[in-house]
Amino acid sequence: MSNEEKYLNAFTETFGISEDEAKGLEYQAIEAWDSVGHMGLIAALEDAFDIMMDTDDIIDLSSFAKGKEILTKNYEVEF
Amino acid sequence: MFSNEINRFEMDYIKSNMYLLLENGNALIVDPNKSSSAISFYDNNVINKVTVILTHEHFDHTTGVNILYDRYDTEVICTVECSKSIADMKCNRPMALMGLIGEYSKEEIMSAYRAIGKYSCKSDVTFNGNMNLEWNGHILKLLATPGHSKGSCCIEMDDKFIFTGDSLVPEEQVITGFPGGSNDEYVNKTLPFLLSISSDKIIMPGHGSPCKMSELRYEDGIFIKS
Repeated sequence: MSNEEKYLNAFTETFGISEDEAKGLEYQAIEAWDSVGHMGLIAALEDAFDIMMDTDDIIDLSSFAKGKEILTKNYEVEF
Repeated sequence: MFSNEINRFEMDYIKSNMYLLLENGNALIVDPNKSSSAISFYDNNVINKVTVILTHEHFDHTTGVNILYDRYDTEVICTVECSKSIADMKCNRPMALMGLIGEYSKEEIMSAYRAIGKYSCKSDVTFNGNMNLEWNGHILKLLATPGHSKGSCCIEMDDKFIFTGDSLVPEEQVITGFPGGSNDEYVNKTLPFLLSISSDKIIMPGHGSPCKMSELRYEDGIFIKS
């Protein structure tokens, strides 16, 4: 599975949404992505990429796009 | 107040309850946190031995564990699942604070995150299902109540008090969406127990003020105060 697919899966499986809905998604744009859902998303991303995210990154991960940027910049995940 | 002896300390921001009963230099503590009022209590009282019981593994109910290990002869009791989780630093991050952004500024929340820091902690006695013990002549009955988290439990003391952790928080829908939570387990295993609690019991919740069970009614998934 490519990193792109892993990343997308984390969103679709955590929030129960389609791939189209996931792309472009922002924090709190849907009911499922609240602070509780955010914890699930972080856990899913950490499992998928075998990383432990820093607190600042967890807070800053405020959209689908931003998450990719953070993973690339700080965790050497290439998309 | 329902008991003159049981002290309650609220954690900053997230308002989680820590309960402390001190008798003859022995302290029974449920869900120790890092609140300044709890530290002040330690500084101003003689405590020789501490027994800690964790209602579950989330950071806001465990951040004070290592302070107690550092200061006192301490024994920590929790479920097996709770024990596994608190030993993993990754599971102890205070991510739930994120929900308070808006109510507090991002800078305040980041400051709270950093104050909690990264930690893991150990336990000394673990159980699955249920466990009974005696502490200073008090009878304690521990019952695993999964749903809010994998490692949740409730603690009945002296057939009078029930420490419910976050399995029952009056006026709040129980949260089962955190990693490890399960609505099915809550509905099938924990809720039947909570609904069976007799009206004379005093509920000591993980958040908010204690109240008598007779003051609560279950409606639309919430224990509402009548």
